[in-house]
Amino acid sequence: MVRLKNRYILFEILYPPSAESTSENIVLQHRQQRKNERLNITSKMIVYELKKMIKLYLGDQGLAKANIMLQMKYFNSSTSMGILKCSFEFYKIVVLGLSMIQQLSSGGENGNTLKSIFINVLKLSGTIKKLEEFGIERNKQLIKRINFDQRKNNNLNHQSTPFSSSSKVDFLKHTNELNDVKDDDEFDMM
Amino acid sequence: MNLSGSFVKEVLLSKSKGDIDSLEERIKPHLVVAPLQKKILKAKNDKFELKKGNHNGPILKHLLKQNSYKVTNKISKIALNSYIKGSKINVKKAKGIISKKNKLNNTVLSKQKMYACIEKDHAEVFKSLPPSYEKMYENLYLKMWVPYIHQVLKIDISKSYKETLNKLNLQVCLLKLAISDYNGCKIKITKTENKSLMGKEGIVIWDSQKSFIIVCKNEEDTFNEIKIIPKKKSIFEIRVPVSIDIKEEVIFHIIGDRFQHRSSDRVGKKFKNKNTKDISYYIFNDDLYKSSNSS
Amino acid sequence: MQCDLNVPFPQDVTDESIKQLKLTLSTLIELNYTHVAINKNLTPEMYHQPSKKQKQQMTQQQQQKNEQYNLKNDLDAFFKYFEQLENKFSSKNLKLFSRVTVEIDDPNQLGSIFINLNAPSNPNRFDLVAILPLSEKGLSFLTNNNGASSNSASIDILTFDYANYFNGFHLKHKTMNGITRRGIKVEILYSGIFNMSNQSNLKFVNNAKQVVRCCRKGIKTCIISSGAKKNTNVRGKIAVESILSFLGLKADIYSRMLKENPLSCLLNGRLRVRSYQQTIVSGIDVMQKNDFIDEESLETVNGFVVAKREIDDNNDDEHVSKKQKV
Repeated sequence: MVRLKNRYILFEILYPPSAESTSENIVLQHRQQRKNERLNITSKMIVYELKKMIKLYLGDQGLAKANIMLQMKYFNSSTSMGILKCSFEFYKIVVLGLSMIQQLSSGGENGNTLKSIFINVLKLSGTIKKLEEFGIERNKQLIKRINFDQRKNNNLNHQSTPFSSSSKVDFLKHTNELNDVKDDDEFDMM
Repeated sequence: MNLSGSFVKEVLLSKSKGDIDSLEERIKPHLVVAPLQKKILKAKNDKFELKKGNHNGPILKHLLKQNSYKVTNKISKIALNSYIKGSKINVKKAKGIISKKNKLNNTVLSKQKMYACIEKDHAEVFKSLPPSYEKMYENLYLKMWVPYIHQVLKIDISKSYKETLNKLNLQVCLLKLAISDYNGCKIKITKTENKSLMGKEGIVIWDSQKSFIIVCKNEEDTFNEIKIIPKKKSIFEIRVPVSIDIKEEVIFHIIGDRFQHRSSDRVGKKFKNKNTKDISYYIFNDDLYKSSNSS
Repeated sequence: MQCDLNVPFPQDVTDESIKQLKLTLSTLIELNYTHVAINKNLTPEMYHQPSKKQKQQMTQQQQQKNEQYNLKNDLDAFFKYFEQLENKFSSKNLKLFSRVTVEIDDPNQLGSIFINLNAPSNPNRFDLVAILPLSEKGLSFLTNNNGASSNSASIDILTFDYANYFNGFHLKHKTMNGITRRGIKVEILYSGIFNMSNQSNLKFVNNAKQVVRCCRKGIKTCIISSGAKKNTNVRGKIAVESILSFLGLKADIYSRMLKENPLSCLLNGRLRVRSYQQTIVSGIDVMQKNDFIDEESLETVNGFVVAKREIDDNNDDEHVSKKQKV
């Protein structure tokens, strides 16, 4: 049976640091916005930049191909992870466009631009469910790495479980200094 | 010179129809029969002559003559082959005998007792078992190969190992090792594509062109065996002891794919770098000492 | 096991530029790279000593620079920093190797630089040696009998300058076939695509497509690596594969260009340094910097790897008394 196939792309935004610091972890350094430039990223900004890059490298024809079924399904600004939907025939164009993005800007005259950014594509899949499972597993491993390095730095002797709820909240706080956790669903999924 | 004489007359012309005499007159000026050049016979040595006094006729002659290189090579190969096969068959037989005894008496014999038991009852089997690993280790390895390598690499055992190693040059030592002889060396396999060969240890009896023939060091319960290990796609480890009592050893390893020459040919050979496509198992396969390469 | 064989070492060594190097290495760790090689660039000015006539033609500034510059000190400084970086990043899963690229404009100017770099008596030897031809004469050096095909100059990698149009040379199938048959691999640098100034992203696509066409779609002989001078020009595995498909390569080659080809190149280089013509090697594993066995203690003395055994006296007696009577 011939049916319409889609591709879902899981990606995350990384902010490579411009200053060296020995106290913080590598994982935390890359997922934390720099203090001078701050921008609240929305899904519209990413899609606008993506279309601009595709038009630059692949022209009007490439943009038209990539625009079939292009939609941002999920984006979380606190962890900078998102899921993007595109068609199955032309997913390579969208992946190329995502990896060419170098800056994000909020539109208008008084808009800020956030420079020196890049996007890391994590996984491609045909369903959203598998992407969610992959994302949760990956975050667990990242938290393990952070805890392990913190233990090394602080020379803690007592054993702490790698995935305790307190460490989860600390991780989120570090990323965008969220004081209030908004939705329970969002919190559990990513 | 016309040696035709009576040969032509009697044998050839007598079988023709016409007059013998008239035919002979017609042929004589045209037909010339002369012998070929004389064969120069070698001076007969007294060695190869038959001595008629003591021995019977032609039997000794072929024994006194020396065989050519090819024939001796063939004979020695056949002899080695039959020795290895015979030892394998006899090890099987010995294992069968001892397992029967263990079932009868409900005991498990140690290695010394196994050998002693077979020596008593089954002398034929005992003769053609392969030699013991411990004896080879003492005689071949410790007494023969280790002093030879100390001579080649110019290592002095009496001084401490740091002094001797600081005087040597690494590249010169590697050059000498590539040319030297490995019969009698203790070898261990650390990396192969063939996983059943991993971890085998033994002393080399013979170093042929494409394989090593070793006496394998087996565990406590079984007999020692002779194994033929191909050089292709495997890496061998050598240790050279640098001090007395074998407390400190220097580690090298041989890449088997590049070592496929006869030991006699390797002396004057100039080695060249080749494409490393066929050594790709070096990177991806696991080592004896580590569980797996971290990704 | 991902490899990135070209992270350039800064030409002017200051505190800031080395800080940039450390930051690029840390982003590479974050993106799951395991084997990284740091690249030192040698221009013709550095290794060529001009004759008297040419000295008179040069300006005063150039003459001053020529007198002040010393090649040996430069290389020694490079190895000092290399050791510092090794010590810093050894605890994380990153293996560092050293590499040199020699830019060739005129093969007569070379002199004996390859012999000096590769001599066995040299205490510091580079793991990988590469060549960057700047003109047609430089390419012909590779196929000459006196040049790269002799044993004294053993080369692993061939790169090109992807930021400028090729200076008048046209790649032919004949030359590339002869080069790749000897085991030399061709390299593509992808960081040129992010540089918007001077139209260098267009030049990169132009040059890279020429190279791909000539190497028969790069099945066995191509490597891809980043020439990233900044933190932000490095990309992960899936993004690099999308760039390769953009250049016209097919999907069965991607993993080879990222994993198998560069690893075999590294093996070739390390075996050249640490063994005698690939037959006998010292140590346990050529790719590891420090050998390590669980049960025994190892030590390196003057390049040899020594293992110390702790033998008890009791075990020795049992071992001796087990002589068989055969």
